[in-house]
Amino acid sequence: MLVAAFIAKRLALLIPVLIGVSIASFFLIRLIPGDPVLLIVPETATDADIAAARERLGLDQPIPVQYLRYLGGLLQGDFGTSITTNRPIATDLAQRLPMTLELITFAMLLALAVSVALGVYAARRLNRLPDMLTRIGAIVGNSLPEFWLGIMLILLFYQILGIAPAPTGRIGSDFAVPTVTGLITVDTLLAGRWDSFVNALSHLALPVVTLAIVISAPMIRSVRASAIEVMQSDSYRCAAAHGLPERKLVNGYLMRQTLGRLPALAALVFGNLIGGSVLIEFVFSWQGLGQWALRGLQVRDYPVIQTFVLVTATAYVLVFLIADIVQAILDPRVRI
Amino acid sequence: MSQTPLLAPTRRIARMEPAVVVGSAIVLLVLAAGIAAPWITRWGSTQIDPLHFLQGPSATHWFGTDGNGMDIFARVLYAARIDIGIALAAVALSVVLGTAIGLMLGYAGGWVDDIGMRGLDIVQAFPVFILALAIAAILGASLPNLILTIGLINAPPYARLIRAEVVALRHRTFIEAAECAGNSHRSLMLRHLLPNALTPILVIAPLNCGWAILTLAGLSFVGLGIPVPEAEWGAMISAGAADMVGGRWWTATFPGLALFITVLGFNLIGEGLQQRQAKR
Repeated sequence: MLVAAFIAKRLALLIPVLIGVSIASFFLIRLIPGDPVLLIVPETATDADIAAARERLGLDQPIPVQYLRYLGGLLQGDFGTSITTNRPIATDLAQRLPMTLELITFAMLLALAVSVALGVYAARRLNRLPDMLTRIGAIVGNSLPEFWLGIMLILLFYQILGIAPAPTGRIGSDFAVPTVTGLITVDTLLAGRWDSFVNALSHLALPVVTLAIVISAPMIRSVRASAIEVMQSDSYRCAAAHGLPERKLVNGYLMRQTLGRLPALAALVFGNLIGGSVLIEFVFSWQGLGQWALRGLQVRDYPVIQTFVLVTATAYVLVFLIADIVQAILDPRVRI
Repeated sequence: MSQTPLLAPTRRIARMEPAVVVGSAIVLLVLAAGIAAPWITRWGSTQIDPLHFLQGPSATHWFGTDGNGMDIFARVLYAARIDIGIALAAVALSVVLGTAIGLMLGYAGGWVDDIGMRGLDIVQAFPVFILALAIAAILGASLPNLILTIGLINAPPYARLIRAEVVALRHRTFIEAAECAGNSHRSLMLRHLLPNALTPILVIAPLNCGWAILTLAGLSFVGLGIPVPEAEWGAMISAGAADMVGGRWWTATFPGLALFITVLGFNLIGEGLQQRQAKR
């Protein structure tokens, strides 16, 4: 099948799931007790004022009607307006999505590097000390509460050693640069401010390391398991028996085959991160997508939560699609 | 076989994976400490020592006190009851619910299966933690509601696993033989399919207990879990996070350590069980 046709088919399959997700989230969040209208009207508001506000927001309509209006807006690219801040959702999204993407992309890259290096290293020293330590490390990483780990790193590197900046946001106020892409590392470079770039990196360091430690754990285990499987395969043992140099064995045989299995897992981890950075953003006051959604949930800002769920669900499915395509490129046996 | 019955249990333990032994020991120790808390410490879980607010670790208060003057050591111990209790109950609920759904979908097949699976797709497309936050917010914070929340969001993976097993078993000869022998649907599902489909989920359940505790603590951390004065590790970390700035490290560190060690225990059990299964 042609790649384009494959992508089209997968995207078509995405539509019913996304409609389902949008319906489910729409009705689910309206079940949460608490009325957003009461949060935005002044305390002196009369019943008539409240009714007027409700009508202005369209919340006086039956829920199915509200949903159809929302869906109609979505089809025209309109995500609606925040109930509590009155800002267009699309503006908030454009501002916050890059923040979260930047955080989790750096964490993902670090975790990929660490897990490939450690996983392959451990597999080549199977059941010896380095392997044991790697396995124990993976279980420990898997058991750490990410929000607590973040707090402990703040305690150590900010409070005690004083080498990390205060955990409040993405850049120090003296180093602020105009927003172009929304990615702070890119924006600081575009502005030509080397000092700002370094400052942004120092703010990124702790949350990125925290996330990377937590997500490395399952990836190390998986890489190690694949590498062991490859090393026990006939082709690898044959190559080794023929006396190929170590370097060639590792780079040409072991790495190549082991890495072929990584995209699916990386997609799963990355997909989960997009909706799963809430706690880390909370700890480091990152003000990204996760914190936006958390606040939206606390003040019952329906359009905010709907958009968050829709965006994360879409990203989740898209990431898997990309992983399948990458897998097909890496492994010619996989036909898409 | 000249095995003396007395030695049999010891031999069985020796044959077990070391990870399972260590993990079980950790979990049992934490649980025992939680249950025996009234005999280990003289402070209650919400008892206030009016003379010692935010004091560092000392002979009177081993882990120090929090901003309310409550003893951290006592609270860490008492919290084990709530955290492990909720995790076990929630995972049990997930297993029962997921098994029931998976069994029915796999057995029914056809359009029932199709619709059910699309439903699971939709539920699983939600970001897990946000779904947990939303359901916890809908139900309101209380112990049974938290069990329900964590149990519900974690049921779909179990349903998928059981369904896959049942679909694979459905047309095996022994099941068809049982069907021909005139067994009812109920008997086919419960007596013939279920026992043969259960193995994979029993391996995953301990890993899930660790995950369930982390989810509970995460919910409490952002204020949607166990309500404040009650002792719970996530809520204690949340309260302690603010103390950190003044250099008062003990309020968040100790409950986090307890949380980490307990989750580690469950994960070790899960890891060991997986290893044993891989060896077979």
